[in-house]
Amino acid sequence: MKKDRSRTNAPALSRRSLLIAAAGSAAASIGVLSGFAAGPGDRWDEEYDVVIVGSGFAGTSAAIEARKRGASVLVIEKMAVFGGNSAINGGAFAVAGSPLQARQGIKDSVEQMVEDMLKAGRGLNHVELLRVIAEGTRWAYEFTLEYGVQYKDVVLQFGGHSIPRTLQTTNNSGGGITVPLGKAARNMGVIFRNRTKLEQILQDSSGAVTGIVVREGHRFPDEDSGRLRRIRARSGLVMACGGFSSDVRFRTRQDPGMDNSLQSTNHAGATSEGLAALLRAGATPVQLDQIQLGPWASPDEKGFGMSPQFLQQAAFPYGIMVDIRTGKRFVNEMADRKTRSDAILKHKDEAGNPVYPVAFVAEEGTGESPSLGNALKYGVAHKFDTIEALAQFYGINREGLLAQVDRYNAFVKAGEDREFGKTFFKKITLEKGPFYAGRAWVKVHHCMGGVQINTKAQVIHMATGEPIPRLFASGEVTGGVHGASRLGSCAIADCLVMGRIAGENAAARKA
Amino acid sequence: MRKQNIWALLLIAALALGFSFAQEASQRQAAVKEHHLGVSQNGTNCGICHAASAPEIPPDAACLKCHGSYEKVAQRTAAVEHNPHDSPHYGTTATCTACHSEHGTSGAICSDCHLFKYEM
Ligand SMILES: Cc1cc2nc3c(=O)[nH]c(=O)nc-3n(C[C@H](O)[C@H](O)[C@H](O)COP(=O)(O)OP(=O)(O)OC[C@H]3O[C@@H](n4cnc5c(N)ncnc54)[C@H](O)[C@@H]3O)c2cc1C
Repeated sequence: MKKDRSRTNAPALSRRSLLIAAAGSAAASIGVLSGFAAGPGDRWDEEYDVVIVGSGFAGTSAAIEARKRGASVLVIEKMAVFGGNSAINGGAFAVAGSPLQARQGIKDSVEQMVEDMLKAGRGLNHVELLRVIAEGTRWAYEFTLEYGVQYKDVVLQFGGHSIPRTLQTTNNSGGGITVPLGKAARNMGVIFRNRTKLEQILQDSSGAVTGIVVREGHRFPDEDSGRLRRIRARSGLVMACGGFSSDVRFRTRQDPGMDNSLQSTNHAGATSEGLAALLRAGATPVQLDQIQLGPWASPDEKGFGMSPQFLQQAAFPYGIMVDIRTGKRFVNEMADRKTRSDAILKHKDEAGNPVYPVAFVAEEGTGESPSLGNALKYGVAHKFDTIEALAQFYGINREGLLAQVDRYNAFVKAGEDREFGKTFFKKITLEKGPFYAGRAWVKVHHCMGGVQINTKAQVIHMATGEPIPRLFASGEVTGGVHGASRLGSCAIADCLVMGRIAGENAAARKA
Repeated sequence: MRKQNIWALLLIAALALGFSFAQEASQRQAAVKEHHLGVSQNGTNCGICHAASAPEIPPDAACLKCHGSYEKVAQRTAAVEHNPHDSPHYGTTATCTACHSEHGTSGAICSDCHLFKYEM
């Protein structure tokens, strides 16, 4: 394992940092760092109409829209690979009023999606953004089709959504979107540059953004690596640099509960320095402590892995999750993520160690899970012929579990969950084996907070309340859309819709 | 700080930096992988991959000069379970040096989330 993929994000001192520290103090006085001030006479190493920081959904869709309007576009990415969290994402995309829903007779509307998201967000959501996003999902979906993205022929029911509205890429990954969009953007002439890290946003004396300082040839996570270069953004800068779930130091400062006892599902580059650059440029922080824990992760693998697409797409909707000490359910397995994660996190012994709950489902309920095969193969899930065998394997209270299963089966048949109010979208009981089970735990998954933007994706200045000229942001680095709990499959919606808007507006001065 | 001191410091820094680059370069020459000894003339021809004189990470094009197109590389590993050169996440676009390290230890980025094992 190479050192540049460590998940901890202490600001690593580079191998050469001691030498550079000596040179640096002298260099500062002879003007290397004074290049950060953006006087009109300063030299740019390169110039583009639109510069985009980050190559996920938000950055790539912004790039396409800006390029379509004739702008020259550069996308920078600090990591070796392109795509950030978007590339490793599960490919689940909530679309309000999709043709697939229509075909299956599912009635949906923009209002209903907004309502669901508001409920999960506990009213913290910035509603005007939410509306734009829900309304934009249909068009963002068409946009992805235009560039060759393919979806499965099924509409999934995700937790917290009042109806099935989640589509999923055929390869079950966000890469099924970022790869074709990235190819299209390249074909259109967008320039993508990896290992290039944003160091600072440059502004003129009026506060308008003029360009950025980057470190080219950057070797993540060696903060000081790479050559400093100045890149001009003539028309607009789009910050699409994602969330900070892998940044243990910063996330713990926002929420002390998010310390390194918790793993993250995110790529290692999900750190906070892009956000810091935005705040330094005057941006308004919004709800930075609203950090989401994914309730469907497994302690038996690293990162996102195989568990989420098994629990979220099989065991939770069509089975149950129980406390192994009692064999009893403890939450609506299809509630919003915050409700479920808070409930899961309470399962600790006296010493504070996790007592992992177990979730399971009968074979009949596994049809929508794309990852069960791999989950079984790598020991993340296990197969059992009987409930008794399952109870024995995981050390679950046997009598408690058998009684719980009987109660649950009765609820399913009656069509009403009298314990936790779960909606049964399909009548699948736990009567007939085989059964599939896995251990559940939470992992740090999504940053609902970020910088404030308006519906044109302009970044709002904290002191003036006005847009910072030529500065745009979209995707997970922005805050307020999802409030206290993002619903599953709504991040793709957010990133694609606002990414497109950011790209369009960032290119506006070009026309 | 007096002027001489600044120059002295700069000189020391420059020498130290130069030395560390040279030292790194020589360490790296010694560490070329066996199957690359031939093409790199026993590790003395840095330019064959790096082009530049500064020690920079080569672009994919440098690898593909010999290995053919990325698609060809993907075909060659098509039988590997979870083909790393044509994954759901990166298709045929994963940067070669994200996983392959000529002078250090290689490691698949897949391992950040998955339990797959690759021989590299
Ligand atoms: C494993 C996983 C599965 C998920 N599954 C789903 C799902 O199925 N459905 C859904 O709706 N949501 C899902 N999400 C959430 C969703 O994927 C993310 O919220 C979304 O990808 C964010 O997109 P983005 O474009 O804002 O940021 P990202 O895709 O993270 O891209 C930001 C990029 O900016 C780069 N960057 C950061 N700082 C700098 C800098 N200083 N200089 C240069 N580059 C920088 C990063 O390296 C990164 O590549 C999932 C998230 C994860 C982690």
